[in-house]
Amino acid sequence: MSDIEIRNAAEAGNDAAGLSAEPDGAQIDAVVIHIRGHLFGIRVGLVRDVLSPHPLTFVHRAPPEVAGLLNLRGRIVTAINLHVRLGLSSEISVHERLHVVVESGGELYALLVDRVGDVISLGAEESPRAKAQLNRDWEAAAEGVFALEGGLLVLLDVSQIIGSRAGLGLVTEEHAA
Amino acid sequence: MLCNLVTGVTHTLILAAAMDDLIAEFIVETNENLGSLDVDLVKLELAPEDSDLLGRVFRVFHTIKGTCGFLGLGRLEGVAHSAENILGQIRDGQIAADSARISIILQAVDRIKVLLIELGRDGVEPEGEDRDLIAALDAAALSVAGDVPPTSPAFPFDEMPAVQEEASLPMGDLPMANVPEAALSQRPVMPKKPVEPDGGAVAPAAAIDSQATIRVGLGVLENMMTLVSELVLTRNQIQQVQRSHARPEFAGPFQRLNQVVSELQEQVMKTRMQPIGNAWAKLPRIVRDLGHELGKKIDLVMLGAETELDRQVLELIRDPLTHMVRNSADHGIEPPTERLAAGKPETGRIRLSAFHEGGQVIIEISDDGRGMPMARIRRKLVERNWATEAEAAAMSDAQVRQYIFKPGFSTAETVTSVSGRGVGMDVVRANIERIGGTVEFSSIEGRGTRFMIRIPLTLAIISALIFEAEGERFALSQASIVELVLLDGAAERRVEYLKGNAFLRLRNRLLPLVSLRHVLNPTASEDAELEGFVIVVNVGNTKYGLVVDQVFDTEEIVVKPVSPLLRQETVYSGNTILGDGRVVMILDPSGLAASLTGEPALSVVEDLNQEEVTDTDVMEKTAFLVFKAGGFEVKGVPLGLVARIEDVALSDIEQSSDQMVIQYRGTLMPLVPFDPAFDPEGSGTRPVLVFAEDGRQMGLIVDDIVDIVSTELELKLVSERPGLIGSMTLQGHATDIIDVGYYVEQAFHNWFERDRRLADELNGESRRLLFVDDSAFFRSMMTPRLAARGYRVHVVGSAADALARLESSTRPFFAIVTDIDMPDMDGIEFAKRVRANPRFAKTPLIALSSLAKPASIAAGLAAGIDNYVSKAERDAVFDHLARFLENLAET
Repeated sequence: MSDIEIRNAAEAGNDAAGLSAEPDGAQIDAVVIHIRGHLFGIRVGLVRDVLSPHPLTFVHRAPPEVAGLLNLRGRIVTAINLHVRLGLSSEISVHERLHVVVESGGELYALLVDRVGDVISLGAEESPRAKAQLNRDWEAAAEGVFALEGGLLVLLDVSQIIGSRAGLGLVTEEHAA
Repeated sequence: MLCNLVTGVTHTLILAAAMDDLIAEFIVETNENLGSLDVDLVKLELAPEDSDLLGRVFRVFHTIKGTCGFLGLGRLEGVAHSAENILGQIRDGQIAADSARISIILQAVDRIKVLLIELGRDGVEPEGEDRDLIAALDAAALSVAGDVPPTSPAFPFDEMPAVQEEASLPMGDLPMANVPEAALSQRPVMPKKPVEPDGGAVAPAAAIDSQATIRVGLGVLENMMTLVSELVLTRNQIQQVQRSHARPEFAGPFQRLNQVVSELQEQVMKTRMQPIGNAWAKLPRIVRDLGHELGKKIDLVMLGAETELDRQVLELIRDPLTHMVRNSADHGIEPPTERLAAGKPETGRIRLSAFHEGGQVIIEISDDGRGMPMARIRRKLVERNWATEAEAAAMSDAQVRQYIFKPGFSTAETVTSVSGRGVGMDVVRANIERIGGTVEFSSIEGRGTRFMIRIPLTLAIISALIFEAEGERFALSQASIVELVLLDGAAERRVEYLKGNAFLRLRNRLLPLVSLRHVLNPTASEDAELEGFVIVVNVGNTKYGLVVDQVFDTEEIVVKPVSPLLRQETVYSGNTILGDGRVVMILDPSGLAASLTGEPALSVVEDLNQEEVTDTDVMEKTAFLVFKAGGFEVKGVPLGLVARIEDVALSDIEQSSDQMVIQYRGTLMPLVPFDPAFDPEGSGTRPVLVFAEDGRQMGLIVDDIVDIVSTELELKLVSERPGLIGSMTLQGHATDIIDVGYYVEQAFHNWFERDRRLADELNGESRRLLFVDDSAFFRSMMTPRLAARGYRVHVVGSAADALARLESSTRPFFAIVTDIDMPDMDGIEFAKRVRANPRFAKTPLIALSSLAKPASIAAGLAAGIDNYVSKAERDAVFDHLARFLENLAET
């Protein structure tokens, strides 16, 4: 997605502001993460840990978004390269990125990000129209798009980010192919 | 129960808690008993004269009846009583245990199960009555039973226990009339097992020592396992510290800690293990009922029921297994008429087997039914719009078969009540893959289908070798490792290339090599030279060498399942954390082999060892080296007999008297040209097949190596021509199979001749040898080689002929060599019969087998076989014979 598209989306988001707040006004608390200058959010409830760069064991033959495995206090955590998952290029080496550890389906995953920001409350700023304009990769990974002062924030759907590959769906797809 | 209501009022409150406990205990115990009851009843139907079995079945009902009478569970008591009544009459020989009676007793079992479920849920028996079932049960019993005041089904709750017991008095000689009273009076201080008054009187029951076992909650065991895993990891970490900063005062305590942790770990693992037979217990009943319902005759053979696996895994595979056996019975096995028409025995067979292999449990389900109907599956693909007609026709059978795993697939022509209910193989596979397992299958139309399920022992702690390749460390279970070989270019372990595939020459055998580097980076170009270490890996019957860069040490590791993101990758079976905190991947030995099946060299080895496609017809596969020599037709030789393949420069060939020889590894090796018209005066190089025997080697000069082909041994034509065993079809071409023994003999003519004369003079009659093998190929191959060593070989093609030969022969045989896998009478049965005759009780007996599985070996040794030799190592037969001969000379 180009910068111009994002601006357009931001404007669209502002137009829609107030029309699509959470039905009961519920707020979503999210950790803000930065990847290549874009803002993303992860629900606070899913985050187990934020780690400084950690030694990774590279796994050959793994899907491209798997950056490797790491040992978090005796548990094996799969590191996912969000840059690859979201189709963004990266200047920072895998080994210098922060890990946001999330839990999904009883397993731990570390999402590799450039920077971790504050925890913010999301709600009124949701912009369905902006979500509709996301590209396919992002749309599948997004739970919602929020127009903030600093730009658009895409709230990531963690189970989608991990599950799109991990599910059994892939098996049948392969066989259908 | 009336008496309960009247006399028990004052006790009610006190008893309530105790009763709950008793009922809970009764439910658990009864469920355990019922688990084996289904199986036992099905067995009883097949073997009605088995009085132990009958006694066991009778006792279960008797115990249920007694306990229920005591606990005031009228419905259960009524059903159990009537079932027991039939069994009692069967036991007394008044009526027969026919199929109809077994069916009705099985219905009683089902009813008891239903009642138990509701009892467990609500704490009381459900409302209702079992008049229909009890009437059917009583009808199945002898009419004499009607004379007995039967349990009144209409008023089961009003029965007094005493009346109940009276009712059962005339049917047996069981002294139990006074028991309920005794038990009643004891109610407030209830014993743990209140009613087993006559367990001993019925028959010597398998004594269940209530003191030796206790019930422990699963959660406790799970937590214990997790804690032990953590303890092992911590121990490993301390070990690392101890290695780098050795403190002598810690050495003793650490060693002790080490030992205790290892033992603790082993014991905790044991608590989790259960025999797989527990998951199979329901199957005989299911297959029997299905057989009745579908009008088919089906035998269910279960092997390896004692194979233990993790409790959790056991629970998870129970349903997929049941489904697959059901499928085999429903789709696989044909109705008797169809089977007879196809020339098969009327009774179909489903075989279920389980065994351990390299840290995995392998479960095979095979049937000798109709196999997968390829035409019908193709049609289904088109109907389901999964493929166009042209696409379906263009697909290979293997591709088409994979569609059975697609959701919504079912080939049953009609939806029976049995299958075709929408739960398909897709669900089965998903369930197995969820626990990190795999399903493979093969099928031959008209002959049967075989499924092979591999389940890793996740959560297990294993001893693993740690090594490095591509800069990462890896672990591999020690259980699958045979040895380590350093690739240092030494002549006796050199890497050789055949058709572009690497082999390691190891002790005169060619071992296919798999480069881990190449497995990890399939796209990278292959290294010119393999170096580092070779880990010789054994998976089942397949052996290969894994080439790695660096080998470290062994470590106890806790196998953790890989993340779902990586589960598709079959080369990994799990991952773990090492003592230094590093995460490493655990390699899957069969996955590594499978990832290379595309390469011919490995598939050859795999096929060579693939035991059979359907197990009712044992089909051995053998790899043949195909070459050209003296003409255009190709010739074949079993690859296992070829020690090496060398390229020899014709200029290096020397002539010594009338024999061609070559300087080879420090000695002179005789050479024999396959083509008698061969001209050694030419230039260039020729391939030479090196055969090694008894430490001697000879080379057979051929023109060109064509291929390696793996196929069933099926000699079409046995040849009378010297130098040929016979011919068979290899890849569609009639191919002469050469007789290696003939050429070896040519090369060593003098040696053998001298040996033989010596043998004749020294031993004369004492070298008479009986050789039994149903395969014409092996007979042709072994006989000349045995004869070449001076044995007087008497060859027969079946165990029955061998027995006849033994009986009729007046002169003794000094030893017997027999094949194991023979139709009609196998080698094990043959051995038993031989041993049964005092004349041959001491005759050395050597078995040759292509399926040298531990269970088979054990059975063979028990049957009196002295030595068990794999057909792949058949030369060992000569060593054993020589030793027997020496012993004979000494005595």
